[in-house]
Parts: sequence; structure tokens; C-alpha cells
Amino acid sequence: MPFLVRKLMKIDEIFALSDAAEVSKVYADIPTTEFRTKNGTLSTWIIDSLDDLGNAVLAIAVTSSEISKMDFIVIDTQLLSDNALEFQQTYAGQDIAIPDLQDTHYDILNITVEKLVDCMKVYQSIVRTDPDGEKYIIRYAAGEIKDLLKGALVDHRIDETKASKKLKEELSKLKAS
Amino acid sequence: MNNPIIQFQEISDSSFVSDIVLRSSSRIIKNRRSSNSTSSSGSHSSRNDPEQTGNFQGERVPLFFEQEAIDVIANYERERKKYLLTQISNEIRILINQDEFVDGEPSKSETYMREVAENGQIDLVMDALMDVYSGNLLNPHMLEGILSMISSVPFDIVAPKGQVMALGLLSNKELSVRDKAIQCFERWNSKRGIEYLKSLDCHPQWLQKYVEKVMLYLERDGVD
Repeated sequence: MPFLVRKLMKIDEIFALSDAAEVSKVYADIPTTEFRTKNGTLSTWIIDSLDDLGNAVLAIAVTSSEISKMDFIVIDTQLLSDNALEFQQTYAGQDIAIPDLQDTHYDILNITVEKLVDCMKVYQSIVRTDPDGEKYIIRYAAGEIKDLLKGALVDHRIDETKASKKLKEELSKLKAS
Repeated sequence: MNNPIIQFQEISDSSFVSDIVLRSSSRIIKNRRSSNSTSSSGSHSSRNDPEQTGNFQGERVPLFFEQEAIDVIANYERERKKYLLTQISNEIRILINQDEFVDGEPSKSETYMREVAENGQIDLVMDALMDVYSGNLLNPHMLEGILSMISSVPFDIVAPKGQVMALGLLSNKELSVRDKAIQCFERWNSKRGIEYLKSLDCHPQWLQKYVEKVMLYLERDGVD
């Protein structure tokens, strides 16, 4: 099964989910921080296997305003199906600077207030599977993301005409180094 | 957001300064009059008083830079700095309270800090940050905000106060604060940060892994 990758906002709070007996009773801090929906959708990037995680990280990095450390959660799509959550390929909202990743943008759809509890259950399940953050909850240091970008530059995967001003600055620095 | 420093300069350039100068001058003249009348008490007092006789020859004109005036100005400077610090500290508190700190997205507090650094007003803002820091040691959001601000400008610009604050928070009980304190050294990208991080023994495991990665990249890419 493929995986959907999403950026985490507060990694420290996510791990606290592990101890919650009932996610619906947990403070709303996590859903209000982590599940900021737009028209009932949650933005993610698809990968076929964990080995491709770098591609999702790159897609998220080039659509961010600046390159810094980032945390990611890797969601097995089977888990989404088990919790009756739908997902489908969508437009990322912009033409991204790595065109070969453009079609890997997926949205988790039809998120209602009720469905937020299901999203929480998915996250809790992942945290319980990976309590030390080694496989499905992953931190990338800023240097690692820059290395990925360098690799993408070397492989001529980056279309700088689609890069934001900040990203262009970062790419220039990487080229110079 | 309005820059409090600039706002204050506008005030100080006009009525406030002239008011202080006028008040200090009149105080000096008043004190001089009373000291003259004390020292020359008796029948000769009115005869020798230049203000009554009109004879100012040999009388030293009360210069602005007399000790008393210097004291007044020093006091004014102290009051001015205190006023500014209070104002900037309040601005920072409001800014951080309303802000959120998301990786990959610059916060308003960081933008403010970068503007301050570009305008060469960093010293006062660092004092204000220190003030906010010491008053909010149990407020993780405020501490995260301070750390985000100090790490958004280069290592040398915030030295040594920035490093003191980051160091103090490397062992904070809140995980999110420790995480941000480590990130400060990553963002500063200075090899000097390695020494600070070497002694850390972090929990949980993912945070320790992050420290190790940061040190690795500082060794490789950090500036001396």
C-alpha cells in the first residue's frame, strides 16, 4: 500500500497521543493545530514506499516559505481506509518547482468535525506503532533538506521559474556551496 | 506593526527633550539663586546679587554642562531607556502571544526581529527580550517565541545575550522549548554552537537524534 506524507506542526504534542485512552476526550489543541482543513481537505503527498520519503519531503520543502527543520508523519493508506477516510489526487494549489512531483499531491477529503476524531485515531495509531519516531514520524534537520535540494539540483529536477523568491535565494546559496 | 523605537524618537525629538532642557536650566538658575542668597546673607546680599544689581561681571554664567545638568540628562537617559524597554517588551509580548511558530513559515516575530537587526536597533531589543525572557520562564509559548526571534538573525548579532537565553533553555522541562533551543544553534549555523550541544543528553530519542544531526551539519557546513 502507498503512504501519504504530511507535515507535522507540533511533534511534541503528537507523541502525547500515545497515552490517550480515548482520542475524543483529548484537548482540541492537536486537531486545531494539525488538521487545518481547507474546504474539508487535508493536503498530503503520496509515496509508494518508505524509501521514497525524500520525494515527499522535497515537495513539501519547495512549497514552504523557507527551508528549516521539519517533521513529517507517514500515513499508511490502509489506515485511512480502515478509518473510513477518503483520499484522492488533487492539484497542489500551485505549480511546484519540482515538476515530476506535481502529480503526487493528494488530499484527504470530506473532513467534517466528526471525521477529525477519525484523523486523530489514525495519528494515534501511528504514534503507538512508532513511539520513538524512527519510521513513520520523522524529523528532517535543515541540513538534510538542503542535501535533498542539492541532489534535486544535480539531477536537474528543479524548475527555478516556479520557485518562490526565498527558494531561489536558497538554491543560489546551495549552488554556491 | 509600528516600531516603538521610531515612535519614541519622534516624541523625543520634539517637545519632551525641550521640556527637559528647560526644566533643568530653570532648576539650575533657581538653585544658584538660593545658594547666592545663603552664602551672602546679610546686608550685602542684595548689593552683590548680580540679578538685582545687573552686574554680571566676574559671575560665571550657569552653563548647561554643570554637574546638575549632567545628572538631569543622565536621569533622563535612564528614564528614556526604561520607557523604551517597557514599550518594546510589551510589543514583543503582544507579538509573540498573537503569533504561531511553524517550521518552514517565517513568523511575524521573526520578521520584526530581522527588521530591527537591519535598522541597527538590536541592542535595545535584546535587552527587551531578556526582560520578557526573565518574566516568562514558565510560559513555553513565550519562550518559543523568544527563541524563534533570536535564531532568525545571525549568531554574532545576538551575542552574547541570545546564546545565554538559548543555553538556559536547552534543559527546560518543556520539550517544545528544548527543541526550539536546539534549533537556535542549527539556524545560527556557527561552529561555535557545537560546544554547547556536545554536552547534551536529550530525551526523547528523536530529540537526541536531532541534536546529533545538528552537530554533524555544523561540523560540515557551519561557519567559523
